[in-house]
Amino acid sequence: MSRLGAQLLAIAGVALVTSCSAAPGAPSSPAPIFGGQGAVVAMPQEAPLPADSGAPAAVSAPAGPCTPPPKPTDVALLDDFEDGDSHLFKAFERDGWWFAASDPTDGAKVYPATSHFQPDRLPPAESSKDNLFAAHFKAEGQKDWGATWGVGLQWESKGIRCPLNAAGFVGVRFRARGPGTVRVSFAMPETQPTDQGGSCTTSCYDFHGKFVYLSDRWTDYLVRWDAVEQGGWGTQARFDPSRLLRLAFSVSSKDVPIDFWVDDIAFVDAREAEALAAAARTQPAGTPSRSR
Amino acid sequence: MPRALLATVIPGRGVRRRAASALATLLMAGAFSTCGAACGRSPAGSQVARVPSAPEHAGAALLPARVRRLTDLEYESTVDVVVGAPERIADKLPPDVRREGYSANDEQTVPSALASRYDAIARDVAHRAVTDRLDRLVGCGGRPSASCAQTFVETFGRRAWRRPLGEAELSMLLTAFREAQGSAEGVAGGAHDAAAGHGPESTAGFASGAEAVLTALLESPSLLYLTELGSGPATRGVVTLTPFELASELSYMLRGAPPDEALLDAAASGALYAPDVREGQARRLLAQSDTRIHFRRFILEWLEVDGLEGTAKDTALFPRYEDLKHAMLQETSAFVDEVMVFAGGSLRALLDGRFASVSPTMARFYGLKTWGARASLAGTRRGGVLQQASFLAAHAHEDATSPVKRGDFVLRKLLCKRFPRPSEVGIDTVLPPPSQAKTTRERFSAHTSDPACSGCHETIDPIGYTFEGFDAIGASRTTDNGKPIDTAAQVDLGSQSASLRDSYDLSQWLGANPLANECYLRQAFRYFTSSVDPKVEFELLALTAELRPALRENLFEALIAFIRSDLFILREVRS
Repeated sequence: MSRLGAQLLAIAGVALVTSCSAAPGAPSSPAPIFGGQGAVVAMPQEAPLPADSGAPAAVSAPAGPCTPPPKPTDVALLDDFEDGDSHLFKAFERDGWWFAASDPTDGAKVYPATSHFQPDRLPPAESSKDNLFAAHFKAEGQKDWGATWGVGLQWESKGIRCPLNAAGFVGVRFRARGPGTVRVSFAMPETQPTDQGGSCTTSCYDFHGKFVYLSDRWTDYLVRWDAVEQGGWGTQARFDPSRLLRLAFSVSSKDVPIDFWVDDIAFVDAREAEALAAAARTQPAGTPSRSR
Repeated sequence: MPRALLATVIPGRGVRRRAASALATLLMAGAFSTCGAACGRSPAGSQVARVPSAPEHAGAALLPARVRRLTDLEYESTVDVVVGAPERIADKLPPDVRREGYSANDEQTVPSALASRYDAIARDVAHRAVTDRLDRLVGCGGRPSASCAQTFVETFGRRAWRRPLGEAELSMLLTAFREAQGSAEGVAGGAHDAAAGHGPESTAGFASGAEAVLTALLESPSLLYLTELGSGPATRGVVTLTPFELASELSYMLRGAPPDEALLDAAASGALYAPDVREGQARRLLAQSDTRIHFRRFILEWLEVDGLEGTAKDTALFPRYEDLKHAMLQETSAFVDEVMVFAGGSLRALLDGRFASVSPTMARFYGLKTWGARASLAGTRRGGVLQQASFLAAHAHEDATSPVKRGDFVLRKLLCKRFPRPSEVGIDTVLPPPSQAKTTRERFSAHTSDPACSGCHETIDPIGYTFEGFDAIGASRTTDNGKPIDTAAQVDLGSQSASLRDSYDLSQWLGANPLANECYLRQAFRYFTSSVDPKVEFELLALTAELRPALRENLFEALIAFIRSDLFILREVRS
């Protein structure tokens, strides 16, 4: 299967995701203890011991021709969009493409167009010499599941598909400007169908994610691995940051029209996350709530 | 009342000393115990729940009305919340006094050396917070003003003291602000005018005022102590906690941290007297991911393993121990997370989870084939916390196992049976002499053959012998001094007895044992209520007995039952 074909399937898959997430069966009260997240130390559910001592094993067998299993990545920056193209940051070890998708509502619009993603130049008042571009997402008119923008993380060079091991980090940070409500989600093999690099065969696409409420000012946001959760309607799986297949920003049809910017997406380690959380806590009163 | 603290924590110099002294006077005058009318009143028109009264509970055992000092970790988390940045404070303080192994209790004192430490910490934290993050701290858009100063004092006062400031307190803190501000600007009168809204203010002067107030808030007894005193006179020896005391009680109980804005708002509305509201707030707090830290702490203190990283073993016998200690504690923490989230924190699951949450290092130590959050223990005689290396290493000597320590732990912390210490009954303790020819069990059998010791050790030691399949750092073993190990034991507790092959059998037996489950909940109540009182513990057990059978082993439901009850609200005034 060509990479473009896989991307198109991925786009179609995302459509199913969001439509299902709006279905009945969302988590009901009481809320799960500790957000429903068990052991938060980065480890898989269960994996064979690695042959060599010391280094953590990767994970249970990933889908696709991926051998040996991926080592934890130490490249933090996914994309700052300054290269102006639709690929991930060039130094990032995966060859992901940004894509967009919209539900099939007549007259619904999504920007960038589904197969023509490219970053926008920032307005002069918001740009600087070293920060000229950002992803600019807009959607309107959706009445079904909404719209989504995302990037694949599973493609190595030469067409090898292999989940990304981000277990060395505690989450993802990004800068954004809204306003609007966006769900940041991560696909894993258990929630991604088999024909898209996952292992899911039924009730797929219930990705782990977190709602983020974007301010109308540029603001740093942090989505920690221990804060993401599934919608609760699909195949249940423990979130495992060592097996990421895709990152996406999605909006529900009830939250369109929406016009928001995203920039400087990067994995963060515990120290940086702590600093970000501390900074968030000192937001002046009246600052919009950042995330749920 | 820690008057010594007040005298010591606010030594200061110059302006800050005057401001802080005035504040101390105010606090000494009674704000500490009642915090003024603002605490107990309910806003007009709000929906205020019925407040239970003392006569309804005549004869019921209640927790005592009291004041208790925050633990080191509670103090750290409180300062974190106030200044909005993580601080490493607990490591700079002397260890808390333990009661029954738990750090949260009402026996903490503040000797003058500790008071000086608090003072230094408050000054340091406040200075760095203002220096590094003044704009984010005060949120006035870089334009300091008198109204901004008042908002700052009110906002941070409520956050730090976990209740609205009384009028006198607000006035006193604003005076401290203005004096420090004026001193910094060198024009005291002008600053007074400015702070009163009559003129422009400098950022430097504003920062000095903010720092003085922040320092005063952080070193105040109103921050350092939790009150459970109510606001009115006792009726038949019983007082009702104020709404803000309830908010603090709930938050420190479940998170070891101060109440957040939502909880303080609920307190302000008077709604916390309604059981449903308290339950809703409690479940909201329990759903927060970082609440796990406080529950991990419970299990680590209950197991008496929280100090493991400070322990040492004979390096000749156990050369790997130093490298393993951290991984051992991480294993127990991860396992606790799993049991809390997926098994309701039940004793049964803690003792017989049938899985390990292990890194590759610990998996190899245990001889497992897999690692991860749910690594299989199939083929081993390990099942839960009692067979984890952290527990086994903590309850052993530096160079050998200790059937007495392990057996004593099970009796004290899992069955709530206390045997007197040898010193309490006038017995001179002499450990069995080392021997290369005997197993540990053979050496310790002297306990049961000596009439002076056998009364207790006939019960303690057999339980400890079931753990002999694990050495002093928790590694599996089949021989001791070259001789086969015997882990079988007949445990006789009077009303109950069991024939056990080893500690895994013991774990299964305890997990299904109602006495052990009761004891586990009593231990939990000790930790979460920061109190040790058997009469109250049995009242609380009675609450859990009213739960549906399926929930009676669920730790969270037991805590919710307590939170919903009037026992959570009322306190007994004791002489």
